[in-house]
Amino acid sequence: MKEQTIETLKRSGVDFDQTVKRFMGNTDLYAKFLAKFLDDDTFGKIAPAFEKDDFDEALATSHTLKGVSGNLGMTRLYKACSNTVALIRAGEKEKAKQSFAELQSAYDEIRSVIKETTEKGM
Amino acid sequence: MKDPRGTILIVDDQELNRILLRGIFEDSYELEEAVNGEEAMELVRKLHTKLAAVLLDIVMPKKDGYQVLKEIGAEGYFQEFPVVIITAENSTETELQAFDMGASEMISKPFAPHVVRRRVQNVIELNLHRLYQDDIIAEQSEKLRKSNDSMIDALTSIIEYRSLETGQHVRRIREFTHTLLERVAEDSPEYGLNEHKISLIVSASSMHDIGKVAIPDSILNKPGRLTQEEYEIMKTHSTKGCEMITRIKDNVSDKEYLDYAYNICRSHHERGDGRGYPDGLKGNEIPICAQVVGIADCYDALTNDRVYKKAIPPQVAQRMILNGECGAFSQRLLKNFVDVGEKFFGLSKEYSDKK
Repeated sequence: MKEQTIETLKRSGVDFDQTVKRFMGNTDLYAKFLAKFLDDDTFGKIAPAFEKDDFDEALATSHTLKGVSGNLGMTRLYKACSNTVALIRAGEKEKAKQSFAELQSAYDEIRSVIKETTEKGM
Repeated sequence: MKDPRGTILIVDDQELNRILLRGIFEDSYELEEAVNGEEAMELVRKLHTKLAAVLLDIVMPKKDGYQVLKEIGAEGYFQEFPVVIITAENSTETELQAFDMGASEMISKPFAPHVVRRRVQNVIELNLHRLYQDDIIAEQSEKLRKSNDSMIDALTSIIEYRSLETGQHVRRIREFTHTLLERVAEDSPEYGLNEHKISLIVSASSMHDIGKVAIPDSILNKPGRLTQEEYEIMKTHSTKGCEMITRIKDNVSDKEYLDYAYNICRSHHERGDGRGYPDGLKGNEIPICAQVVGIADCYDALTNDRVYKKAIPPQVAQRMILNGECGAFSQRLLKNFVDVGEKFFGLSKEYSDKK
């Protein structure tokens, strides 16, 4: 991974050092999974679930995204997912729906950072 | 020896999580992966004897982690390997639920690799200790039993040498005791003679004459009839025997066995009418193990040559015992003795001194 990529990731709040450790120091593997994250469709399932008031599905998907984003070191997205998961669990349906805005924003941010870096070549 | 439980099963629907876990364990374990609960259970059923641990995600399609825990519990696999929950959950409630369902450890995503490695290894090691402890204990008690047996064989062979009897004598006593005891167990369930107790009594029966080492040769091997005085000395072999057993009893853990040996040594010359020795016990005051060895000993003495007499044919010996010529045995026991008569005759032949 390029110095520049690492800097960009760190600037956007990615917990780079801890995450690389999680990948046993293998930054190439980390880069591969960041790229894969762009194709992951978990995020895309959350909004439709909220629209259908299918809170079980909303919980399952935001929970999965929580795990993935956590392991990829995406601190902001991880926190947003955690918040949404907690609200659904607590039965705070309206607040859960409202929390999706932050989740969306965090997702968009990290997505554009990854896109930017992959286009330049990691 | 390579550990037969060297496989970790990783269950997670997210490839990323599986790859990260794989990276942590691939250099020390064989790894198997399942992407949902259904696959997980299939692999568990197939591989359970090889599994060191299962790393289990909770939220998954087609059977979630809770369902997997439930099935693993229902099918008894927690006896074999631990399950470690690795999940994005961090509510105490889910944690409690997973532990209640049998999980051994819980690790939250995102995880730190060295923490995962350490915790999973701890759980695995603990489980292996638990599993192998049973094996080790079984192995050691088997060793102990064998060494006990050879000690007993050594002790009893001393008697054989001293009293000019052959090794067959002790073997026959064991066989007669075993045969009669099994019949008694069948006929009189009130004695609670299970397989375990029978095997202890049979083994302890070898010790019945151990006290004879304390009897002078001139009496023990006297080729004629004993005088009253000599007979009184001879009779002390039963109390001498149990004194010897009492002395080792405190240092030996197998108390049940030595209790039988004690009772057999002390009371195998007691008779139901109170005319036996050394205590003049009557009827069921005489431990059943001693009653059975008593008959076996009489039958064996009658049917083999002794320094003071010639062998008598088995059928005649049986009749003599039934007629009370060797003292009074309980009617029930005599009936059992007749029940297994054919077997006794067979054993007399098979283990004859004259072979």
